[in-house]
Amino acid sequence: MTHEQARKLIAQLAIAAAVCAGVHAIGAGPLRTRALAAEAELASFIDQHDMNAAVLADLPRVVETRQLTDAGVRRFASRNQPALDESAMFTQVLDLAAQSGVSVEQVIPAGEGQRDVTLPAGAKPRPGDRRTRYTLVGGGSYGATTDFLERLQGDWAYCAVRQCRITPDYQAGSGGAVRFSLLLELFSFDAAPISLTPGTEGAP
Amino acid sequence: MRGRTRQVIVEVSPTRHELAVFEQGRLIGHRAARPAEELGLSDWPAILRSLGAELENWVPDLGVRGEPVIVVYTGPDTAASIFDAPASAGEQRARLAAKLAMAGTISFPLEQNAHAEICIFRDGSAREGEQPKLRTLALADTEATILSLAMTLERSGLTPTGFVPAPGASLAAAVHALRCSAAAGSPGVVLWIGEHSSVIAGGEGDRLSFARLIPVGTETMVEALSAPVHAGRSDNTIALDRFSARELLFASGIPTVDGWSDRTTTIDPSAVLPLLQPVLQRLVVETKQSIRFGFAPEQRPRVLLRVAGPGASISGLGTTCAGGVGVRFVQGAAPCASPQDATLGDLASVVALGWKAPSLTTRDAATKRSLAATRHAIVVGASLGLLAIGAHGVESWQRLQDARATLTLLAGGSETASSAVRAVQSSVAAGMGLARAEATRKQLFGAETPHADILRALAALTPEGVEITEITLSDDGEASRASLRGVAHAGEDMSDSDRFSAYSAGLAACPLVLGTTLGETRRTMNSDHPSLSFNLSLQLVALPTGARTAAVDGQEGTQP
Repeated sequence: MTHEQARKLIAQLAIAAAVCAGVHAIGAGPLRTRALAAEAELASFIDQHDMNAAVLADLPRVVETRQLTDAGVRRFASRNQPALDESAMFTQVLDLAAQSGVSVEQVIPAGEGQRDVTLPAGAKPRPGDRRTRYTLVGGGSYGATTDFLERLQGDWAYCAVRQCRITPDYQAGSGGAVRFSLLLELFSFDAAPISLTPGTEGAP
Repeated sequence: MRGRTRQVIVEVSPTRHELAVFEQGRLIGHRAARPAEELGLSDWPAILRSLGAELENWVPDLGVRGEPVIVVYTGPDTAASIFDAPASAGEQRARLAAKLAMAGTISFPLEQNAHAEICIFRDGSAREGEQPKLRTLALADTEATILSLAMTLERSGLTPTGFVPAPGASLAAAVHALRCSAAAGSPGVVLWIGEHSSVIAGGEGDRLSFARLIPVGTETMVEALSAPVHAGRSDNTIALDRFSARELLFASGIPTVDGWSDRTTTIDPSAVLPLLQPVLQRLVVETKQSIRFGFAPEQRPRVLLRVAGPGASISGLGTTCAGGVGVRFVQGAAPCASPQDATLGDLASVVALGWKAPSLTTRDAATKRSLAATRHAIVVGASLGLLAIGAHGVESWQRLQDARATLTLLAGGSETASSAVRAVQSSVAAGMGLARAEATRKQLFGAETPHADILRALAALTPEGVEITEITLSDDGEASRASLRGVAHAGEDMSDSDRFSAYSAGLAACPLVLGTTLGETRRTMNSDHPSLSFNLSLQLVALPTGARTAAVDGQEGTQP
């Protein structure tokens, strides 16, 4: 075999090998990569699927828990309302006064421009956390006033009586009537679901 | 030749050129000529020129232009021989041994010239004390001879595919004829008589005892007959030319002392017989020697002699040789011998071998064949590689499709599970929001002063004679206090200070009061009764939100 023939033979062999390698690189190789990626995705999906199936089995308990949570959230929403809505607060306070038999003559927001009082240090506020103060001035019998105070500290709102001043109502005669001046502090607490994505829970 | 229905054979020798065309094994065309001038093997160029001239006419006549051709030739440097090797060595080693042996017997370098080694016979048994042998036919010729022959044929429009040395073909054909005719327990000898050489092959059953090539053929006899002979009973001498001598030999056969078998021949047999005697004697002696060394003494009387090849058609040759050797002669051709034996020259051996004669090829052709085989291997390898890649791709594609199908299947079924997971996540988020709100509520609104209970307790604990003028309750989220401003009046049974002390003690004993602090007191007269006005601070308890309980019996309080 001459050198020329050997050279041609080697060239043909190289061409054949290059064709094979090219076909593999263009066709079979990427196809293989895609198949392996799909199989990896499938394996991951199956793992996820198994986990989801386990969750599905616990779903009744989850639903029950959610119902309790929702009830709690509704309770918060209801008691938050007076702190968030002045008109609602006014209506309910007058209702309570009427139920107790006292008359509320004045409802004074505490400090113009300072109606919203920031939460104390150490608290972790959320967008819906809020507190406001009002002064109520009125009169009634001592017992009615006591009952009014009790109702104010009831579950109509998150209401704290910060100050209560009671004096005899000398103008009303000897009927046991008293005058009262109350400083109320109303709170609202944000019970909205928190974001499970880290970093998205913002300050108010 | 396998798979072809048409075979073309060219025979080349110093004494005869022939072109034969076979179809389905039957002779359908035939041209033969003998060179006009006497030529020897040393006149190889002249032989080829003569052949070329003949082929110029024969090829178009027979319509074989471009056809593949087997060439049976007798060349100046042709070498053929059979070499033995133990059968246990295997064919590859036997061929290598034959090649080495052949290289030692020729005058030209074997590797640079055309050669071939073919195993033609394997002993099925062996004599006691010996082991079966593998008989390898080794052929060799110079590249120049083969190339010149190839070029001559190609110039004539033929395509030579194999070059069969006539001695090698004769050896193979003799062994083949012996194999076909041999019977177990009956030793036999085949005397294959060619034009320029003959072969003596002997054996018994499945064992070959010997196969020897001897340089005596029909042309040797023709040459002997060309010497001057006496014609008839006269003293006239005539010298036959080769053509006439050949015609006399094949037409009248071998004469005996009693005369010719062909009565029409007028030449004195006693004059011809001495001419042939040396040739016949050579055949007889060679055969006798072969039998003597190839067979055991007890086998020799049972040896049967058969004559095959072109010389078989010479009348009386077989009986003469058998008589001379002292063995029995079996008339007739071997069962598988070709019917063309008698009419054709050395190409009869190719026919007898069923077109599978051992052949040589030029180194260039061998290289081309090797290159073609390598290219074929590359193509096959590349095809297999591509096939494997294709299979790999198909398998990958199938796996991809399977994975996608499974993903699609699972995706549909997992929608519910995914929504459940979302529900869980939502529930967890809501729960955590509620828990945080609750925690803030407890932090800011965890405890409160039970104002109503304090007022009720004050109402219950304030006795007659004590008048409260102002009650102030305060709760700053950290501490709860009550500030009482009032007047204690003196009575008939109790002084104002005692009344105040009792009142203060009663308040201090109240569970809602953690402690009392006396503030400013002042003695006054009220309607001529001494009175004590006072300021009293109470530290109150704070209860958890919603846990207020009546510290004292709840009753509609009256103004203290």
